[in-house]
Amino acid sequence: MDALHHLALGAAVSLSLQNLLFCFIGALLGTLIGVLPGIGPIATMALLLPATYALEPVTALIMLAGIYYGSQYGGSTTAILVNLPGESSSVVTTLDGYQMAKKGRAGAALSIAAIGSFAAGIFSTLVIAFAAPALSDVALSFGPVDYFALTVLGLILAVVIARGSVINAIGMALFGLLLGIVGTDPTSGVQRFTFGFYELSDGLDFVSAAIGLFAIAEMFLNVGEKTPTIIDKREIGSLFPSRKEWRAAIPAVARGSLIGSLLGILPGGGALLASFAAYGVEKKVAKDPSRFGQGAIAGVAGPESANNAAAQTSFIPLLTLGIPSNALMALMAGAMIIHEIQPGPGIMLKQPDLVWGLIVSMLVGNLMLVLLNLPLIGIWVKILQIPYRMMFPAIVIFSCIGAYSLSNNTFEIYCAVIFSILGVAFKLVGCEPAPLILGFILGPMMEEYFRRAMLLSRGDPAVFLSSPISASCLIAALVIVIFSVLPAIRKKREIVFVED
Amino acid sequence: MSKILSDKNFLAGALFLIAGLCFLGVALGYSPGTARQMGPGYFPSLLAGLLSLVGLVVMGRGLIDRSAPVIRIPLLRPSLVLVSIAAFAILIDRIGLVVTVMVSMIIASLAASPFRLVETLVLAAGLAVFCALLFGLGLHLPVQIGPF
Repeated sequence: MDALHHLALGAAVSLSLQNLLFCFIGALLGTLIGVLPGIGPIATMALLLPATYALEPVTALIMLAGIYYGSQYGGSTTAILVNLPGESSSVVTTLDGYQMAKKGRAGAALSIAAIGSFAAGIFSTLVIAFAAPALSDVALSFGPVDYFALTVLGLILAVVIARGSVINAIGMALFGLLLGIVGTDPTSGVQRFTFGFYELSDGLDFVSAAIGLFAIAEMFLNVGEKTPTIIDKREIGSLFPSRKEWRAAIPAVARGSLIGSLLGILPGGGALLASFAAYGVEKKVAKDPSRFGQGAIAGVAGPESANNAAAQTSFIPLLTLGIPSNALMALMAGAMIIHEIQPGPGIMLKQPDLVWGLIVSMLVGNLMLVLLNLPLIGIWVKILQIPYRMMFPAIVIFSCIGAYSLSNNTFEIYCAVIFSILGVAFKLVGCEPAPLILGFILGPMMEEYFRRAMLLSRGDPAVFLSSPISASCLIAALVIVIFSVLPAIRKKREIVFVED
Repeated sequence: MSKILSDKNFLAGALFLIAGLCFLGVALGYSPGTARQMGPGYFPSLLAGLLSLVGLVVMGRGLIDRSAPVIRIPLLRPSLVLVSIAAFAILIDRIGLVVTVMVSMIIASLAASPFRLVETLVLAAGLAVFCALLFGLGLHLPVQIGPF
């Protein structure tokens, strides 16, 4: 009955007028940027973080979470209508969604995507409500040794799942860890890597890093892009799926919700992986797999449910262990730290209103999104037609103001520029920036755990192998690295991500 | 030689190696302490060493297998995006938000193709007013709004 009590507490928080309003703003913005192919949820969250300083912590988190799952809804619209993923996690939706649109069934595909996302959102919220407290109890007994090992495992999993070469991603994560420990050393008070800049004594600001790496670098690479040509508006067709389509979609939604919820919890997991896995499963269980790629509705329903479920359950490692499992959750962790909340097992006990308010707001937000998406589809189609050349200068300005407002200092703008140059350079040589930002957030935590673990063991590194939790995490991490660089597995991994 | 300088892996490795060695060079200047009582230099040196090692491995892979040439993209026009941001940083404390937004926006628009003068001017003015209202009056950002 604890769960009911928690949900009631969360309902009281999330249904306050202010929180409802910001949940709505978050979901709306999320949908908007989900629809627009040029800008993703990481960049948007980074741009809006400074604006949340003035808000109460729970309100800020509710809005930022809304952006994440809202973008999962919006991404499917672009995937179906334009054959372009509005978000990376909608890549597989383009395969069958666009084919359905070409056959005049765009309306049905959009409805199923939205309703599937909604069902998955409800399911995964319940998963969080029941799983999080149990995991949090377990996590409270973890020591610094276990935390260090868990962080290593989380980083390694995130790196293996990232697109592109594993070793490059490890390099990016290490670079991020180093950038994360720039600033005053908490133990000795020594200024590390600050080169005399007093602005750096609190460390590099991860918001300007994220704005540079994601918002500005993306613009730099996309400036020459042409506006996508959209399918004729009149051809969207009826929003109501036929009975046959329902029959194919409902089991796919159920499977997608389950797969997404599971893969979201995994450290390193998230919406992208879940959508690929769900598509693969749908193709396997289908009676006639050859229909996939020709407009099979299960190929839309499964992945779209899975990506939304995973977007939400990826909050579980953050809320229970304090370990962000992907770049977006790293930003959420950063947002919590800005509001002086230490992510970790303690927050469930110390600030239950914050945790449960956030969880229940996801239910509320999902309901808003269904109501927002389907009737307003005409508006989203119009927004899709705004040329990129008109959009990106505005994003440039918002990036500048966002970075500037961090401390009312132009130093942060220059930092963002430097990070954007780094981002572009790494992108051109085939390195993704996501592991870097994850390492950035985890850097200080990891050093702290490492130090404390070694202090407790009197400097004996064997301690990491004598604790069963730590030993199994580290061995798992090692096995994963070895397997992911073996040629046979590498080939399979490339096939999974080949649509990119 | 020129071929190897356009190999993705070789360049990625070189970037990692340079970053790793820079961090290592600085980190070795901090006291490492002992494994039990770590000083400020211990953990960063460890990470920077690992990063340099990863850099060497990636570079080596580029030398052995040269099948991944760097994607070439035009760099000149997109650089205007960075110029526009730098202009924002230089101007914001001197001439206020409204004019800065317009100047930055016009520079950024030059990067787009096709560039349309009237459209850009209208958009720049609109965005400047919007920013002044939202950030100045709405969110009370402590920033100078007008030019004086």
